[in-house]
Amino acid sequence: MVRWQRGLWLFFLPSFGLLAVVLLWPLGYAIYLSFFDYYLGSDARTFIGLGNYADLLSETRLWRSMWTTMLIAFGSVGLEFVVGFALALALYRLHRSAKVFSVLLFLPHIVTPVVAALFLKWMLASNWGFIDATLLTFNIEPQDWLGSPFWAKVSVILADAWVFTPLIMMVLYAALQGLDTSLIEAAQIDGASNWRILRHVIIPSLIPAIIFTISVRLMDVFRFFDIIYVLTGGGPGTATETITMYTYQLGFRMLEVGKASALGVITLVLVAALLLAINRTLNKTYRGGDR
Amino acid sequence: MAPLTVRQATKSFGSVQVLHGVDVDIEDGEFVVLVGPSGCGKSTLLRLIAGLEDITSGDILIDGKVVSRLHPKDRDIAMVFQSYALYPHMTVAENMGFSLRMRDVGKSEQDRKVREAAGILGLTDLLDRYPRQLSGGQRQRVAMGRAIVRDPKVFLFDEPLSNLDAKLRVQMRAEIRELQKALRTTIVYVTHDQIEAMTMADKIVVMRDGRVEQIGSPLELYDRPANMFVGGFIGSPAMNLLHGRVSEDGRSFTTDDGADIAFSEAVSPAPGRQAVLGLRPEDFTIADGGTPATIRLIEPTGADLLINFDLGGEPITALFHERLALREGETVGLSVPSNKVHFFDPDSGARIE
Amino acid sequence: MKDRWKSSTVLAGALPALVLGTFATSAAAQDAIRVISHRQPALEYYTEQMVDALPEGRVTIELMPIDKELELASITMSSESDAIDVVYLNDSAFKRFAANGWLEPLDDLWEKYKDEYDLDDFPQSVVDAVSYDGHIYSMPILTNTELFFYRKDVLDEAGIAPPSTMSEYMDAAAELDSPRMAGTIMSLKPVDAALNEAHWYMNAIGDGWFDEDWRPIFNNEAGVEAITMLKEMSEYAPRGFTSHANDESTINLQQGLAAMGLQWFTRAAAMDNPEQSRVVGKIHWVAPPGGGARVANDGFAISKFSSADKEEVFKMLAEAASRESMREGAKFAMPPRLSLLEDPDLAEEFRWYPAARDALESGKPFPAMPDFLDVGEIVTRHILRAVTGEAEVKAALDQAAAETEELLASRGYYDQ
Repeated sequence: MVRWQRGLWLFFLPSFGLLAVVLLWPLGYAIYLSFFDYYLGSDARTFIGLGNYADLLSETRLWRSMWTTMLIAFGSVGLEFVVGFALALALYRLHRSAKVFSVLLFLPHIVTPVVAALFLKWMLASNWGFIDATLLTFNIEPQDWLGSPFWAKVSVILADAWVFTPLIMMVLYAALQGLDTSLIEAAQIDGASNWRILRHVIIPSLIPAIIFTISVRLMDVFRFFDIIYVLTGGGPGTATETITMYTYQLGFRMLEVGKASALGVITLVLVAALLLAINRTLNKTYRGGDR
Repeated sequence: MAPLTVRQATKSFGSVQVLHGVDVDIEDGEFVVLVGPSGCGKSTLLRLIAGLEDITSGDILIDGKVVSRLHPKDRDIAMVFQSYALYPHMTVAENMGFSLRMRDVGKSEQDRKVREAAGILGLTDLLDRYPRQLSGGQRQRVAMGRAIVRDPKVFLFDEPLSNLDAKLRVQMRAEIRELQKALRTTIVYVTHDQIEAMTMADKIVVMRDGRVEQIGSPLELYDRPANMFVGGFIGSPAMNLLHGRVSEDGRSFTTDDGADIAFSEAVSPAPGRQAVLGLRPEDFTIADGGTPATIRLIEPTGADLLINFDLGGEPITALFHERLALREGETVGLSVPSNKVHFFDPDSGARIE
Repeated sequence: MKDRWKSSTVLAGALPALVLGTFATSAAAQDAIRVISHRQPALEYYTEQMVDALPEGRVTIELMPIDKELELASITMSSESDAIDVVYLNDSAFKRFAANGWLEPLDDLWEKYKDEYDLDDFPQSVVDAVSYDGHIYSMPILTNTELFFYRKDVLDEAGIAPPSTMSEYMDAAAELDSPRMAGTIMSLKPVDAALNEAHWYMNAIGDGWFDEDWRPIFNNEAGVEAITMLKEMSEYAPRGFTSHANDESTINLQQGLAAMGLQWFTRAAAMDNPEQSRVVGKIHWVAPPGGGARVANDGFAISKFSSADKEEVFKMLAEAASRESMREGAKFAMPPRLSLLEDPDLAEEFRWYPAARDALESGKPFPAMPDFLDVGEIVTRHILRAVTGEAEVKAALDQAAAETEELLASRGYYDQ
């Protein structure tokens, strides 16, 4: 413990000041704005209390966007986790070539999501996109990857997975490195098949890392913006309109800043609640590991 | 409970050969210790027997059956690891019952066997605890319990006592030995501590650089070490080794530094032969007619007296079991009974009969 | 040692020079007049004229799709920033920006330069289109109408006459639809493109968007029929039509990937551009079947918050809108100047002028309300849901109407 001295708080000031300016003040202002009916065009602000919240929570469009968000979020994270874990295990078994493969597999993550999304958009564009062109040469009729409500959702999920699977892979691979190999050997001698070793030995030991990756990714993917905006703009119609896309619509297209702020606050509460729920569930199932 | 045979076992990791054709024969119910300095290949050999490493060439037979290429779980062995390797998120009971669960044994049968093993090891009160709540010794026992529940043909131990403090180690040594006598199982035990080897083994396999130096009972190895290495390895403090030449009349030995050591009878190596003389510290006696040696350092341990001598320029360690009134700097006569001397060839290190 | 010292001094000297340099260039850049505009052939031409009107480096142009451009303008002007000086606005966007008080009134400058640039040559209806609440806010630059483009060679071969009703259009599209060439283009990207396409159906088949009290009527029986037809028509549209705007549809026609469809007058010349088009000379035009397609009057306005010299900017705009400039620009868009509209040579020179004249007669502009584009945000999304099958047409339109009413109420349309 540090003995408290006078003036120690001065050292907090720079970082705290930065945090306050960048994080706390905008958050506070957004909460403040959410209680107003504020159309940016006319610059008129009227206090309506919880009016925005009431409006939003009774709108079909909002609930539909929440459902879309859940679908895309869990679809993405689920896919990323399974594939990322599988890749991490694969890397773990390779001894020599692991380094080369891990770098190659990590490349999609190095590119900024917007750039990755643009690139994927060109791949998926109808008729003259890479995928369509390839399928057409084989006389296979391609689907409308970005234009059909179902396929648009799939494309968005795959795009996010493409960018973020490497991250999960790396975190889990690092966690695997810290595993005590004698545990696995003991399990092998005890007669456990590979699947059972995975279930009874590897996964329980990796619980902290798993909780971390799933929580972080879910948190991120709920606030998903770049990729959806570039790929489909929330379309077609509202097929890929997540909460964030709707917030963007409200705030920057319709200029209804008050309502957009309210939706932002709702998103915050939602994500926080979700995180707590996940943390608790995973911890309980695995009895807190060996901590 | 089964015999174990290792035949010409070789192991290479890539281009590096770690074991060079090892042969070991173990009887049913024998306690065999693999001992040697770090890197001698004892752990590798153990892992080959367990099936955790692939054997490059050679065979392993358990109970007459060739198991060299079988998966560990098909070899009917159990292993106790140096780090105990207990599953941290399972209770003691679950840890011990894990192998039975993997074989889809019924719950009641599982419970019965676990309780049985727990009873033998005194773990009955700890069955619902987690590994992190146990002491080192208790974890050790759980690891052994896990192995016992398997009821395997061969038990393998990989330096299980290295992580314990000295006092606990002595206690556990005795416990393991007791256990083995009670269960009458075949045990292969790896350690770098030669005292463990000497006190626990029916048979010791001394290894160095991937080769077997000597196999024999503890006393065989002590009384008749097959070469200089085994002579120097077994016994603590280590055997004194002096380079020199046997005298023309065969009744004394002249060291390279010029010291003369006389014997009561003629010694076996041919007269005039170059040899290495091996003398155990505990074999010396103080006698007036003995070879003169100056006392450099006296280290009393309470029970014994450890004295470093300078014998004609050669450093000699001697161990006495009584309190002697000696002072550092004094010169006394040292003598060794001629039936307790060992001679080794200076080039090959092999014993000269 | 001496070398090291030398290089460090060079660096020390270079650094401030670099910094000053960037400041200088950025300062110069600050001084330049910044124009943002939608990207299409006519506007490319007219913004070029603006650059030529002033000394080199005085004008910077940024072209981008209209939705992005309007978004950028909205965000900039709502924060009262001086980052943009001149913005391209079509009639609906223009009304909203003027209503928000974001545009500089041009009445005085208009009076001052009336003779020099012959500003009376603009018909009153055009001046009205660029005025709001009694003040002129924008320099008219083009009149645009939607035309019906079709592949004469393909239709002749199939023995089909150019459609004059919506059902004839549907039949023709169905018959000509094949894997290699779609029956018709369709531009359903929100907001602008989708709104244009829907506007046509809503007027040709439906009863329009609003009644006199600004209550939505587009979800009535006729409106549902209109959107249902739009949905059925989309079967014959090229893949990806939900994200096609004018650029993509133009390319589809140029590349022979579609046989006909609704597009802007300003895209007509591109059909005969040998560098881009594979169908030079094969495209012909008629007025959109059923009538009611959009007519627009577009112009360039000056931001109220611009820090440039407003007079200089006005002169630049007037130059670009001069008769000589517009005579040239007639190829790309209909010049709103009386002297040119009545010029018989133009009709002879450009094949699409006759159709454009007819379209002007039968066409309809967007409803005259500042918030129509915001309504469009709502409506186009729901129309797309209906078209892609995510919702029933009636249900989607009803929801759109409900949200629209809510929006307009909050903007004060129903206050008595």
